[in-house]
Amino acid sequence: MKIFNNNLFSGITITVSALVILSSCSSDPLSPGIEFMPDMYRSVAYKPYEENPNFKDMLGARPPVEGTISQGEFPNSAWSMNNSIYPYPNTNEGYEAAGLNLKNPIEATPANLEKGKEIYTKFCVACHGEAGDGNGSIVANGKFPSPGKYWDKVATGLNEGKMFHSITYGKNLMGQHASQVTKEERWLVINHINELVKKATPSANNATANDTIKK
Amino acid sequence: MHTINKALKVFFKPFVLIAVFLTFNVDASYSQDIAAGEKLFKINCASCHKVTDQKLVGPGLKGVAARVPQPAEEWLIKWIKNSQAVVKSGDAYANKIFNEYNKSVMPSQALTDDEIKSVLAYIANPPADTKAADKKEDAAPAASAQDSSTVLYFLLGLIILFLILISVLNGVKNSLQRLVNQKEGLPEPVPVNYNAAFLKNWARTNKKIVALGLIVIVSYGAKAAWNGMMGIGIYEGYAPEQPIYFSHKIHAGENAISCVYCHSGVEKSKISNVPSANVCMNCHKAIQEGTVTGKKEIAKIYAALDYNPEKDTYGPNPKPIKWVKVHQLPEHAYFNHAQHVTVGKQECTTCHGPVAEMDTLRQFTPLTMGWCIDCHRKTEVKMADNPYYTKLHEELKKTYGKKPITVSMMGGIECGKCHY
Repeated sequence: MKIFNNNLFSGITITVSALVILSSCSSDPLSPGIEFMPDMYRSVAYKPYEENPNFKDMLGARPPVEGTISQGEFPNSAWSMNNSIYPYPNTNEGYEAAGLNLKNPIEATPANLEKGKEIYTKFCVACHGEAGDGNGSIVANGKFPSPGKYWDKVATGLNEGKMFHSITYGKNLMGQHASQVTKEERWLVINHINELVKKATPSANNATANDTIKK
Repeated sequence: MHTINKALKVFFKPFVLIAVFLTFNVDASYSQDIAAGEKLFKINCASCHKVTDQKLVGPGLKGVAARVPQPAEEWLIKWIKNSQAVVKSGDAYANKIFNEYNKSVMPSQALTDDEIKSVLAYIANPPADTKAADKKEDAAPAASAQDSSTVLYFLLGLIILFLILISVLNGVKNSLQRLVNQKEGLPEPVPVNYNAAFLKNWARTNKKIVALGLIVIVSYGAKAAWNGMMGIGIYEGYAPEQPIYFSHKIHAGENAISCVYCHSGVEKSKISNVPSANVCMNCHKAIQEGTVTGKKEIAKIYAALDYNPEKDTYGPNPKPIKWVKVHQLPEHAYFNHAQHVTVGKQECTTCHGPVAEMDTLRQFTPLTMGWCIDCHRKTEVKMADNPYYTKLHEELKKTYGKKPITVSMMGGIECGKCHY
């Protein structure tokens, strides 16, 4: 039985559909396209973030075991406070205790301050602002409430240890940043914040806390 | 057209009048208080409180004047100025609240009585929630624009399917007719297909046009086929739909959040990490409504974390978010982010393109071997003040003198560098 009794007609149909199929392979943004020899592309070993059936929840990215020390961090280095597990609990008492006992082990040398500024620009600046006045990009565009100025908080009792505690566990609306900023980086960034406070304090006395922040 | 305008005017007039009435109905000095209060609230209170009944760090303040001990204003001024003094005075309500919030101290606020009164005026008259309705209307057309190309393909496919169906059925009809005719001994009918006959006639008389048309179709087809084959294994332009509509344009562009804030592993590790949901919550504990998608997409983060935004509590059943991987490098090629970003001081945009302008993340570069090699040949290594290269640079100077050192000069295109 002849299915196509009309050669020209069906020829055109086939050509057009072939063209559509061929040209759609490469241009559909939702599809990665054809893969050549996927065995060489994808190994059998589990990659980071890949679904992992060995765990009940299939989560490939597991939180590290309690007490895990990251590569290059030694339990007896100055910034890990002779104790790889942070000793102060996430409570008001822990906050006060950290304020009393924790001292910044990293010197505020120009090189360290430069490093601190770099970390600050990545992790803090969106809310706290470049100058530390609590007017970062997401505060200025009205999306996030202002965290306030560092120097106001320093005037009411904020110190290095409390800053370290706050970065580790979060404080008020600020979330915990322990997963993003290492202990060493926390101290480096605290050096930079101290520097910002020093810079701002003489001028901050003239203006009231509420004047300069937009909105 | 004119009459429509007129009709619209008549229709909208009452609304305009109502709006004008509402605007002028509020006492001028009172509204100023509210505006001043809003400003003060945003600076001093908003990092812990919302004006709705939603809990943030502290309680939501909707109807606060009604639930504190009366007279409310006097009590609240005392509380705001020094909450601990009120707690220590043995005030029953103050102690109840203090204990309810795990004894977290509300810091004393350096505000005057008048300032506190305007803040309270603002809390009593919060802004109407008009944002959400506007946003939803904005979001709809964007979504339909995205769909239009899919619809086009679908329609095209449908047309082709119908054409094939027509010709198949035609064939079936003809052969059935032939069978019937054979059985009944009737003479075979001449297959009449007016379209085909006309086309055949036309093609016979216009051979040049047919030949030209065939050449065009065949060459276009050949090019499309070639492109299709060259695209095998190349993901450039791949922009998969993610389980949560996350816009880099909003986060990295509009909000100017550093790439490293979320992808914090990029400077330290082989892979640049996808942030875990606790990083989302650093902001989205407070921002519960998205710029483009309203509450819908952010609610998916909460669902994944089993987080209750009303009560600010986490449940026991978090589920992982299954993000779709965009950049897929073959397993037999080694690539290290830290090496490129920290040591080589490359910008994220060099390979990932203008991510801060992308709503849906798209693979910007082909990530082929040729592309890697090309960059390694051209890119000058930033050796100055880079302790990683100090020793190597001295050695390289002996070979290359003062020529700028590219990645390929220090072995960046050797097979074993990436394939081992």
